[in-house]
Amino acid sequence: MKADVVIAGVGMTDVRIHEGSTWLERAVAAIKEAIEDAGIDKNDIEALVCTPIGYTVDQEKFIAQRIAEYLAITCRTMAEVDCGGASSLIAVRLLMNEIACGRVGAGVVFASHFDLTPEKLAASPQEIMHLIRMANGMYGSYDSRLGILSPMPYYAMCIQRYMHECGVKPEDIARLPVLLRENASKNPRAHYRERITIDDVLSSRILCPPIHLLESCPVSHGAGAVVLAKASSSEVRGVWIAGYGEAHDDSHFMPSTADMSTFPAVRKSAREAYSQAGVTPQDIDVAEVYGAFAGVELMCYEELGFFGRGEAPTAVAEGKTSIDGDVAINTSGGRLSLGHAPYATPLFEIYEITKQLRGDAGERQVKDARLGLVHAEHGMINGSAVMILGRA
Amino acid sequence: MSGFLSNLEDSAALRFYDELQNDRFVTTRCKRCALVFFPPRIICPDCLGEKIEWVRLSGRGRLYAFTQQHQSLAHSKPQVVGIVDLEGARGRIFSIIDAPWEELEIGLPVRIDFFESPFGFKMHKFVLER
Ligand SMILES: [Zn+2]
Repeated sequence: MKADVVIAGVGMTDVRIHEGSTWLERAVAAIKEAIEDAGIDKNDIEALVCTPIGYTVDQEKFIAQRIAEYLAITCRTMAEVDCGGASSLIAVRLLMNEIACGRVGAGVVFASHFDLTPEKLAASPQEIMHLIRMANGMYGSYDSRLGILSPMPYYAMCIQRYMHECGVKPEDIARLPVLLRENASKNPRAHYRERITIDDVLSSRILCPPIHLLESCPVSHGAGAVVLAKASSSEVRGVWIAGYGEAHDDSHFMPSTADMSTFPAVRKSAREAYSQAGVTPQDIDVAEVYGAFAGVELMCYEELGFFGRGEAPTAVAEGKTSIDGDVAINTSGGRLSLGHAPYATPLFEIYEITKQLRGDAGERQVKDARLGLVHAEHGMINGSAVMILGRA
Repeated sequence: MSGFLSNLEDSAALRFYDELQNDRFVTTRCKRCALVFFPPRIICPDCLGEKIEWVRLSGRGRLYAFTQQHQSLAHSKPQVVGIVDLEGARGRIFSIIDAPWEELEIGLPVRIDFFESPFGFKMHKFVLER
């Protein structure tokens, strides 16, 4: 197992709709927590790597530079990574490689995600025009003509294909949000913490069919930060980066020929990460999987190799992904209940896995967790990154 | 292509919509490797050949998947949107499916039709092949 770089410290804000604070204030809070958690001197930070702020806001520029100035951090590496929802995990990979090749000793990856809520957008003609321009830019010359404003229709059709091909029923999918909410009820940082039932899920209104409201992630704000350091240079409360994989399909949102019900990029990135770490999916004790909708989250479990095709819903029903199951998945509450602030989400996932591997996850603690997995994706899962973390 | 939908990524998209205004459903074919691909491009995505020609598509296909838009600028519920696997080209099209939700099933044969979009230009839609 390779162990050049450690996750030395983690920090995050609550995941919710934040009122009365700015993206910068939230970024600062998460970075401060991560630096103090790592127990390193601020002057030892040599890199700041970040992501953009959000999809519906574009007025904020030079994010890393502004934080460097605000916190008086002198750097040898600075970058802003934009690769959709996988951005901050790819930012971690970039810094990991910088550290592994010896250019810097320690650095911070951070993301502070902020998007306008649908209510805010509807209230302002100016914001609506901005959203339209953004959607045109995101969905291109063809799909934007359908008035598309979110990727939900693609996800809906992808889940429809999965249900059709694997004989999955609505009630099979509806179990997952119930479990995620149960996990979130134990997480003080989660957006939604009140327990729900399968009936609640199935009777919640249909957004894009077959997706129910309670099978969809919320729009959340929040910031996350991770301190990475050279293994030898940090005092090891450490969690090792044991493996990393990344893959991108030749498509953006709608695959032009491949089956929409499979995610080749997830499969390939997971295979690379397992192989680098010298482990198998069965060795993973705890995983944070990036699924913005319940149906696709289940599909990702399968592509990550935890279960066979079409078998994830049954595995969830049998408790195999629960905190005391074979592989505890999304103990944080996942995207559906922890909340989803896409640019920051992979850092929330690293936060959760780090706490789990250190034995600091409180009520959500997975017994004797030694090996964890973090997964992120972009587009309609057209690209994927997987990181495997090990307990020191 | 009027108003706020004026983002066109390449001249092939411009040509595609120009032809559509005259009820012609077209795409590009690579003269080097003979691949017909959708959407049209100014370069072949397989062999990077730049000699391309415009061809008319039959407009027939099969319904690959369908849903309804929850939040959108147009074409939201109860209207159906879907993805059609196109006959005679590599690629799929995301379009309006002009049929009642209850009548739809994955795999049904569909064919193209044209209509005036709320955005003020002619757009494609697909109807069930009877
Ligand atoms: Zn060619």
